[in-house]
Amino acid sequence: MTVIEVVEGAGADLDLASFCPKVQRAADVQWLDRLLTQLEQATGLAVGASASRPRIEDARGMTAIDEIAASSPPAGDARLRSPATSWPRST
Amino acid sequence: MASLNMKTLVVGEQPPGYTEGDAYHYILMRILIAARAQDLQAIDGPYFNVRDVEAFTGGAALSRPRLRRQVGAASSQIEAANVVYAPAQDDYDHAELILDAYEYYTTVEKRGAATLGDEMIDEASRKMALVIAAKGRAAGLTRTKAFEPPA
Repeated sequence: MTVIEVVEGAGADLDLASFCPKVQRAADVQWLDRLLTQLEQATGLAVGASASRPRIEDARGMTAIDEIAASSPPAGDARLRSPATSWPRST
Repeated sequence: MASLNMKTLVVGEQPPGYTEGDAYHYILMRILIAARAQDLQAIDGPYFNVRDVEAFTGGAALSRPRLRRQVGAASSQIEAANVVYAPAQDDYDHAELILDAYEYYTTVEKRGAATLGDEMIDEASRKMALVIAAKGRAAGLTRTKAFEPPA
């Protein structure tokens, strides 16, 4: 399922705690941020409503952890996209 | 875990041989520092043996000093996580005592540092006590000790 299908299908019911899997670089978070913003604008949702937490799931993501953590607006910003980083240990 | 060739089949489980150490200490601490530097939450990953609450609690205890909370992979883990991530009653009491004592010594006696029992306390102590006290209050703990200023 694509991000577009998820956001358009869930609409205002989208879980704010959704996870963005296998993040390996800051560009992954920035890409998602831009896509979510455009989807929110297109569907009439509040910009920033569909927050997502990047998951660090492999060695490559770990080596880019600082730039990933710095890749979203700071906490408190309405467009916060990465309120957390995590190590789900699943892969 | 697979990316690092960890020798285990259970997500969240220590690989064989790690009876004392923690194979994931560096990873968890590294994520915590990166997150804190940006004022972000850091969340531990799940533990997949959902019926083994004792092992979950042990793993959560390992990550407790570092990450904010562990993702509950199953409802049976939520209660255990709330217990293990809350401060112990003694630590919560001690944190509140430090806050009271520091307030008293810095405002009434107008000193920059003081002692609480046998322990020196200063602004750094207050900062750490604020963290533990906030967690204890959030967990619904109540104080069992009160600060008594010296006569």
